[in-house]
Amino acid sequence: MHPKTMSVIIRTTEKCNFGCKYCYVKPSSDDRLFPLHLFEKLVEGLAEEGYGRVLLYWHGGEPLLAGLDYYRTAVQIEKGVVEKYDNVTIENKIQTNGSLVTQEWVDFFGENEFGVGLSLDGEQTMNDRNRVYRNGQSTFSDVMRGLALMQEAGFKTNILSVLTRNHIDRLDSHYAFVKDLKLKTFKVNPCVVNKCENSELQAHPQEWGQAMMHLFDLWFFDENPPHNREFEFLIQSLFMGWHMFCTNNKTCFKNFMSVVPSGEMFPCAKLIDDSGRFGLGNIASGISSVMHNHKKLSRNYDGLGCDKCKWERLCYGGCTGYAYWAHGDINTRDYLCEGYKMLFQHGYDRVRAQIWKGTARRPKTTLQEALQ
Amino acid sequence: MTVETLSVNQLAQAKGHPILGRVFREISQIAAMELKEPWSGSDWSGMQWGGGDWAGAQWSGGDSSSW
Repeated sequence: MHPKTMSVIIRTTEKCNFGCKYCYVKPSSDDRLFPLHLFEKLVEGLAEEGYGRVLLYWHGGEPLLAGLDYYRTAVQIEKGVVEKYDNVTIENKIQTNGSLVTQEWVDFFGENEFGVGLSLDGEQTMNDRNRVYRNGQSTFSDVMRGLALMQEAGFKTNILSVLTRNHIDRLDSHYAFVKDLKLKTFKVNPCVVNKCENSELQAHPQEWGQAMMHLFDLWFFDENPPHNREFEFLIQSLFMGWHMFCTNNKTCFKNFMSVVPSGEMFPCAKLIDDSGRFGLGNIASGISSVMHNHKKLSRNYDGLGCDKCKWERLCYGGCTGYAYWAHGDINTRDYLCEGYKMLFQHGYDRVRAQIWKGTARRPKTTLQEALQ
Repeated sequence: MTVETLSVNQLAQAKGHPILGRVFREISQIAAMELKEPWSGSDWSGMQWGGGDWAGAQWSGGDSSSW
């Protein structure tokens, strides 16, 4: 069985050298980094609370702005905690915009087994529509240089892209870009923005669903496809009856938390809210009260109105954060609900037709013909 | 009302497909940790998953997994 697991999304800094048009982290002049003495308190506290597996997601802002020495010290702190407590493992993952990656960073990531995700929206014209420097200049060549350094070192490279409304008709070229780069994995996140920000970039749920169905097909019928966790988890869920993503799994308020540079903690990076509505307390006061407040939070899954939906057990109303952003209430369904239904059905039809192709049993539907 | 779960036995027969083969291997690994009863056979019929409250659920916000 899995050890008790906690994933912590660390907003290392709110500063960023990019000015992406869809970013949900508000521009900040606050130079603070998440203090390492609080980091020590956090990981040691989780070990004391009996978490045998701690997953750290270093995010921002741009997390590389913290500098290499910051992470070297963090890793030393982690080693100290692992040595002190039996049966505790700590894994590091970092999500960077890639522009600051140097050979030193690549070496550090490799030596310390960091999983690295690189944010890039595709080829230059796509990327530079929304992912630009604060002065509006292109980020593409700098990101590609960072990506090349990682690839030259044999690093497993993943890119994370945001699917905005002005990208949904460009997924063929996006997939070709992923393939040309021989990337190990790719993921496409939806652009879901708070009501007050750049809502023209947000695709309608059905538009998103249609685009993701198309991307699914490009990937599913590829003879040598890269990994795509979203699609692979979707397919797994059709066989297991439950989904491995936090967005579609009732563990949302159980196995995840987030911390900001002040030390304030929240249940998720998407629920960091100035109102304090979801605040769990400050890690400076110790982990106990944070965990106490964490356990009190829940989402009323029975009240989401999903009981009439056949995908309920694979979806559970989607992302709590996206629901809150769209409706101001976590006890509502994800903004993308209708798109999820389309994608689940599409994946189900494609997989069912394919597995029937592999057996003597013939499908009752005509989908198989579409796959010839 | 819920969708009928697809058969892992059928998936096993479709593992020549690059993605379904990959998914089958991953499900096999998850099964070693998540099935309610120890299992080492080849017939997946009636397997009882412990999931739905899985500690290993992954954050969807980033993609920095080490495959």
